[in-house]
Amino acid sequence: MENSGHGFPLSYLTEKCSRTLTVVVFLFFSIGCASQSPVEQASSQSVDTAHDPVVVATPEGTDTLEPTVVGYSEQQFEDPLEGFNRAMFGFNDVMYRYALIPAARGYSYLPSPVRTGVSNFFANIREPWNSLNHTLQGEGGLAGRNLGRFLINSTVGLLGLFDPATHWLELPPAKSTLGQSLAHYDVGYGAFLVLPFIGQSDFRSGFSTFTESMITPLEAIADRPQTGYWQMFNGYQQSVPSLLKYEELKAQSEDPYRYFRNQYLQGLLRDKQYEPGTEDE
Amino acid sequence: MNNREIFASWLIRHPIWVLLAFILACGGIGYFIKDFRIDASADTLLTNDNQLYIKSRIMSQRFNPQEFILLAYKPENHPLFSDKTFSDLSEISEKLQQLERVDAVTSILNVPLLQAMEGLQTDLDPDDWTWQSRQYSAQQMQSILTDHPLYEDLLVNQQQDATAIQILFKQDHELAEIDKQIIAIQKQALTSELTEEQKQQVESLKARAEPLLQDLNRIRAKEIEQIYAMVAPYEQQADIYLGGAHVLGYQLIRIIQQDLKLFGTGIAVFIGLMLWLVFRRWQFVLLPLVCCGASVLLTMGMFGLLGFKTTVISSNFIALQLILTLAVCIHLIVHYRQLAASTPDVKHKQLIIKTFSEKSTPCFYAALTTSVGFASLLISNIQPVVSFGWMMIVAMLVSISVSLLLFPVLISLSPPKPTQQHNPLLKPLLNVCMALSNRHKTLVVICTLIVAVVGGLGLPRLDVENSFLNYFRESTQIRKELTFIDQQFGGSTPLDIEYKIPESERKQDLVLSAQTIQTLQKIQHLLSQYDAVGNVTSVFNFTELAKKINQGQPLTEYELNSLYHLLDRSLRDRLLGSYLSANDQQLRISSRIQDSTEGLNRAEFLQSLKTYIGKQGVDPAQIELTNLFVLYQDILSRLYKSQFQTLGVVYVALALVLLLVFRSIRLALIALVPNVLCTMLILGIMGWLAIPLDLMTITIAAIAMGIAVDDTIHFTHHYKQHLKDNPPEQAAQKTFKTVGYALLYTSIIITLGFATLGLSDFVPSIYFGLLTGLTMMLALLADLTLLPALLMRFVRKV
Repeated sequence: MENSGHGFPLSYLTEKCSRTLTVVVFLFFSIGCASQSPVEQASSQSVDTAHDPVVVATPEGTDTLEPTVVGYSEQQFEDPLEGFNRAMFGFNDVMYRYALIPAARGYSYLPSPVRTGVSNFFANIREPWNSLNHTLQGEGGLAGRNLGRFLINSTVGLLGLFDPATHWLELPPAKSTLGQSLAHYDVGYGAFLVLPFIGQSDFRSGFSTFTESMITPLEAIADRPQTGYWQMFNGYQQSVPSLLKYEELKAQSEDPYRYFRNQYLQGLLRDKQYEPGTEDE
Repeated sequence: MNNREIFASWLIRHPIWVLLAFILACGGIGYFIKDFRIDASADTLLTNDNQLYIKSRIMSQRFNPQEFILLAYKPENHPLFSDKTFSDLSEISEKLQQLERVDAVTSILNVPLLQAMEGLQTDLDPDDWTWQSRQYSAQQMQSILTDHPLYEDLLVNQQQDATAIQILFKQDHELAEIDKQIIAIQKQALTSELTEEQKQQVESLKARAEPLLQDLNRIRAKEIEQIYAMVAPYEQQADIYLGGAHVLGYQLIRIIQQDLKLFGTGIAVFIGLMLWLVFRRWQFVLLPLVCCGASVLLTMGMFGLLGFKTTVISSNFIALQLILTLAVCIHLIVHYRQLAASTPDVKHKQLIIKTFSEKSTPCFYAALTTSVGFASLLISNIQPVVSFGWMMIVAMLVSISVSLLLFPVLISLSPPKPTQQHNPLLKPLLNVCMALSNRHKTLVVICTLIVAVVGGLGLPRLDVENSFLNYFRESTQIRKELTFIDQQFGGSTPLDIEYKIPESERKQDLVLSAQTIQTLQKIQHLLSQYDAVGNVTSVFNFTELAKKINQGQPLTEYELNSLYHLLDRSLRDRLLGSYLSANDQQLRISSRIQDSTEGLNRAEFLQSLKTYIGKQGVDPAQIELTNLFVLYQDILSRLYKSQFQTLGVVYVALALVLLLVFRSIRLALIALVPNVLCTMLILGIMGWLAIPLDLMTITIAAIAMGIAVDDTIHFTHHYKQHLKDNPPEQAAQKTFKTVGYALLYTSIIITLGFATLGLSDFVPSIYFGLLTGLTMMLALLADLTLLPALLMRFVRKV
């Protein structure tokens, strides 16, 4: 399962930033799709239990609580391509610092309604995918909501630039990706993967991004390769908030590659273990 | 003529000069009453140079929690979450903000209600998420604040019928700077002895801080009064209570001041009445009253001069001193009257000289024994009790000097007419005692033994507890208010748990690992299992809130870390500064203990808490319990030992004094028996009545014994005199007739004097008054039955 994407901008860093550059994704997709990863099988015998329920001995007896913060040890991470990944991370680092981040600063100067409109537009474009994925995961209600939102926002919301579904009809967004659907059927993430420009990812998620960007309702309004540019822009605008924080986070870690990788993989493992929306106790 | 007679006759010859000198002295020393201070702050009750104290200070400096007052608002006729409440809170907050020292006023209206966010954001401006900027509806506010990880018990109580405003105060920079220097030096005392030079440095720093502290305390008191005045207009629609350590201190001072005034005058009036009833001569009423007044005036002046601060414990020193001065006066008066009755032809002045000469030595001994009682407090090792001991020794010195000097002077100025000797009411009582001790010695001894055994069985029941709320009488308004805040808004006495993050829990690049947060979670969950634990806050509560905002999904430790680093630094300090010291890798769990918890056994609670923290797999070396709760408990844990140590010292010291007075080991030991029995009995009674030993009640036994032993000395002294030319039975009879009445008078008047303290609103004073009175009565009874019986049996020859 990928990060649910409910507005935790940090997770943009870990999430697949862009749905473009599909060629690269495709290359690596062929290497490691699906199948239970060896790491996840090994995780049960790991020493780090900081992700398990918290057991407290009290005078009244023993209580079991859900943790508020979880951690996974590096033994649980699968990163067989570390050499490649580190090289790609270095490439990205240069790209971020000299191109993408300055551009992101510029982009963030755009008036907020403009940025919101852009973000709404792209969020709307992928509603059919959300709906399909929810259906695959047996979430009929959510799938219906996605369709409803798509219809309303594409029409009343002027091609999705506005979001009347949320504001007038109280139908809040509910994103779901192919990656999540795969995870739902116990397909493992394969291995950690740093993609050019996009950054932290993995095979399952790479496949998801690739597929979802190949088949897109954008085709209805534009042709290739134009849709590709659109998608590229979409990925970029999504990553702006996290790009702006990239340097700050990088500065405080001794091994940035490791830091961003661990953050990404911990999020992945956490999503597998803890569903959002489940309150503790 | 002996020296005493020469001195007395000199006094009588120059009464005006003596009086003038006296008035001058009173004026001179009395001037320093302006420096007389009552300090009821929690600090005065602590021993401030032990390790625990220093550790607590270091922690409080590291995490620097702000001084605050809680103001609880409980609407009467409108719902808590309503526009009326919101507008009242805004108005009150605005007024409070105008106080100069107020740094911030926190209420449900201006705290960031981050739950309203749709997801965690790092570039948040918390002020965007307050009621003030968003004007949430009453329902929204209610749903956000229900079960809030940070604000429940702090800003809204669980029943949701009251809300609290937290008034945060600015630090005094100069004081903080001095404090920092003191702590820096004292820190070294944790590992090695301080050098003389360092000790002096600390002393001079403290001396520099003293006037600043006094100013601060004065300002605090004024602020509290201002706050009470500010909220008065709102009390028609809502109950408004103030709470917090400084409010408690303020109320204690108020009640002590009231008591000082009330019992200062009350006991004086009462004593006057009693004196009139017994002696029927205005001189005999006025003389003790003048002595009492002068003594108190001089003593207060000297306390001001010497810089003794009156604390909660020493608050009843005026009542005590009045009673002690009175005892000396009564002995002088009774002796004077007896001399006058037995030798009607002797001249007035001769009578005075004789009285002075014969009574000054026993009075001196009586004062000595009483002082021994107080002096025994000096070895209690409990700072406030020690200083109370010193204060009372000074007071005793003043009292005895004043009484012995003023008595001859005043009586010589206006000789009283002779009076009828004894009050017939007391005669049968004395006869019964006489008969009992003479004819039923065995019965007396058996009864004493039975009483001693039954009382002694109460000793193991003696408990050690200290609850500041219990210091206020249950019916008082202030007790109700403080109890409400204590129960509804997270407790009163702070208890901090310091957690030093062990190497094994640290991870590269992470400020806090998941394991550390989970250790906090365990400890906090454990804390919440105890009824007595009120509000508990640490970094964990923030992660709880983050999880809630994150759709109930736990954060990963990396997300937490990124969140931490991306938060604006000042915001981070504001939110987390008092719970996390990243550089020291130390965490603080801040909690408050509910002082009003029924049947709370504080020692047991602490023990159990420590045990169970250990059971969570936490290395005890990484944990430090600090702050007031632990400091008080540390003192209390020493009370038991202290109580028996002080008593042991009193027994030994009094045995020595008795030996000095009677020059006979046998007599000294016999004289000691009734007193030892009485003190043990009073402790046993406290055990049976479940009156706990605390900083106040621990002083009762020693003091009561110091006073009660006077009776024993007088009785034994006269018995010994009469035994010279009488057989034991007749000697005893004569002793009854001569000193019996004096003993009855002094004991009854002193007891009734102490009993008036029972009217106080200050519970320790009530206990002190009633229990000391009871000891006096028990001692009197023992002196009039057991003592003569023992004397007649074992001391048959001089």
